[in-house]
Amino acid sequence: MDTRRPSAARRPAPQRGTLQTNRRTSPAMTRRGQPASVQGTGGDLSTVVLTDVSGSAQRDQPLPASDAP
Amino acid sequence: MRHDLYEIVRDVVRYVGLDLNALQTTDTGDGLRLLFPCSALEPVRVVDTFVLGLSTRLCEHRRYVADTARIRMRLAFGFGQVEPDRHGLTGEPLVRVARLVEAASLRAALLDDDRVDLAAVVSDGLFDTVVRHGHGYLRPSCFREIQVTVKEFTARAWQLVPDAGGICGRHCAVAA
Repeated sequence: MDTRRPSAARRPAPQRGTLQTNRRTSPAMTRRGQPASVQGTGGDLSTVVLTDVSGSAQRDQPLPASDAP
Repeated sequence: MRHDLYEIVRDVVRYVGLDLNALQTTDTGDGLRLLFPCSALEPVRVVDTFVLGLSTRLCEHRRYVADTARIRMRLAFGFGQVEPDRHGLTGEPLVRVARLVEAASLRAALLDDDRVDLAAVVSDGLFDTVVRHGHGYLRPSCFREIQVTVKEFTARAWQLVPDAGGICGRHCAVAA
């Protein structure tokens, strides 16, 4: 039996409707809408957002364990 | 307060279909630093999302918590190359936002008007590259030029006009 991989020319074309691209989907999303990791691989052009709480009497409350970075 | 902060930011990020846990975040003690690679979210959407989203969420938050638990926030945006190093991340934008968020003008915006929940500033580079062209919801006229001097850092930046477009808490205070 021939176990060689078919060449690109002989490879069957994808069936209609099986393409996995969706231009309306953010690149940060997977096909099922689940957020993918968007941390980048390093050296990326990025927008940096820094938030800083300026006033709250409760700023010293401990952070829930599940939110720890 | 920190739990509320995380929930507010999580909601804002979720609005654009992202998960806070999937982002590169750094807890700064009194705040959060987030990184959005351009491939994940366009810079113009980052600015719109955080300014409008935080304004809305902080306004809502104020309605259901005691005055002592109210959160008022400073917000800084930068743009550029960020790289990993052995200690975490490094890059000029990280230093820039750390300085911008300490701008006296931002603190003054919160001190001068108790109704304001959010004071925001955009780096000069991000403003020139993105905001100035008016592709986002926030128009260039929503910002005014400021000069920021913190430690040895001196730079031009663009501060959100507090009542630009009826955002940043003023309309909430009137309605409350």
